[in-house]
Amino acid sequence: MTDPILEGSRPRNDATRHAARTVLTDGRFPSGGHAHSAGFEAAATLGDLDHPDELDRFLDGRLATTGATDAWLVGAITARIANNTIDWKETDTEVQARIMSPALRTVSRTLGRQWLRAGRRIWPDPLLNEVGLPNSGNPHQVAAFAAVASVAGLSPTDAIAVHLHHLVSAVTTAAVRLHGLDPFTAQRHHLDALERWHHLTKVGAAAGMTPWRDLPAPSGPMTDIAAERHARMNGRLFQS
Amino acid sequence: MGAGHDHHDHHDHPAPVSPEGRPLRIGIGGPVGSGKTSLVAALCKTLSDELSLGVITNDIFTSEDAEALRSQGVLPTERIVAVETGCCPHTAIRDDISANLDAVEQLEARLGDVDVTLVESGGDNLTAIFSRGLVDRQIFVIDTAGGDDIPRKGGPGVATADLLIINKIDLAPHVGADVERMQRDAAERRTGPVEATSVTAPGGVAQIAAWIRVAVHEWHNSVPS
Repeated sequence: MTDPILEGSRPRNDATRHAARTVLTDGRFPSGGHAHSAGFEAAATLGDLDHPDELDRFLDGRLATTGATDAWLVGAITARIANNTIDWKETDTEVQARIMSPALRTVSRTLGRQWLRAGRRIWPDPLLNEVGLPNSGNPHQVAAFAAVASVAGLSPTDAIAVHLHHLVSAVTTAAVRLHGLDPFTAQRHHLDALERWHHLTKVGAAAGMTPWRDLPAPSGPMTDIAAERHARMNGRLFQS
Repeated sequence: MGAGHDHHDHHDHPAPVSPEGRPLRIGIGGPVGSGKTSLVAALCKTLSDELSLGVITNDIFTSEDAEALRSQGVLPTERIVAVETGCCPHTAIRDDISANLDAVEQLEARLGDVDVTLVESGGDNLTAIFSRGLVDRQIFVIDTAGGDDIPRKGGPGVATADLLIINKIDLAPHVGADVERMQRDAAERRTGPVEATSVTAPGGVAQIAAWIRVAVHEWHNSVPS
């Protein structure tokens, strides 16, 4: 049960890249995401989402705000890693500045730790030791994910696509578990949402070395308000 | 210990060894209502004077079990941490252990002196076992009131847990359960020990506590490979 020795090199051929992308996309990837609904439970129980038919509207809201912000962040972080100019302290500050709710900041750092733990076991690479340094091993999710995706060999576009897939998957899975939504219908909603918002993968990847201050960070106040109320709610099924 | 078995099977294959003095992690699983939380409470009362304990609970609803343990005062509240499992208790102990492993490591690091960490799963079905990536030993708890055919039905929990507990034997006459048959069936399904008891009765966890003492001793005296 000892940790593997944390050294290695980043895989760079098509076979390893393709395998890594497939594994990272799989909902069974053990990074703890299954306990999160990406705000769906908060919205559903607090009255903003009283019918599963409104799933598309909710998904659009998530993707237009958190999804877009994360796409730019993953694009910016993966570009800086590829460019060897990543500054993890600065990255931590920039990500933190884009998460308003203290509850969501905690969730983000918890998921970040979990991504980092999984990544270090699967793709040992010195880079994964550096991600958590600015905050005692507690990187934000988007930073840890971007680092893991990079050492796994994913391109920025693929990394963003995988990240958005997990965002949508958290919502649709929660709709199945909480509302009994037909799982075939859920997959259709999932597919459609990723198609509608496919441009985010390109827009995010184009962030490249754009200065942090010039990266947009769209958000919606209800996401943060609902998350804060959800965190204090009794009898919730999901962590967030 | 029951069923005529002195040792469980971790001598038969390479067992995980204690890496650099890390605490022994014991998973406690079993169906809903079989008595997992009562077992944890009784074990804490029995062992907390001699061992430094940490407890992780896995709740379907926020921190129900953790609150139950805290309210019983069996351990200082800072030694009990709740993990929320997003509707899938078995996923959180087997397929995706990240949230639990995170909670375990954080708790052990924060307390610093833990000998044993007990990880209680959310109530689940007979197939729910702990990943060896999360715990070093596991206890599976079933009870007479849940049906005396459960050992015969088998499943990974009954068959592979390091210790199987048949709980609530005091209720057996009232629910028409045959405890001896349960023990017999269990012995056919597994090679490890079986303990039939009522964990809430005085001395009801004495044998289980003894098993844990032995496991802890073995763990902390094992030679790292």
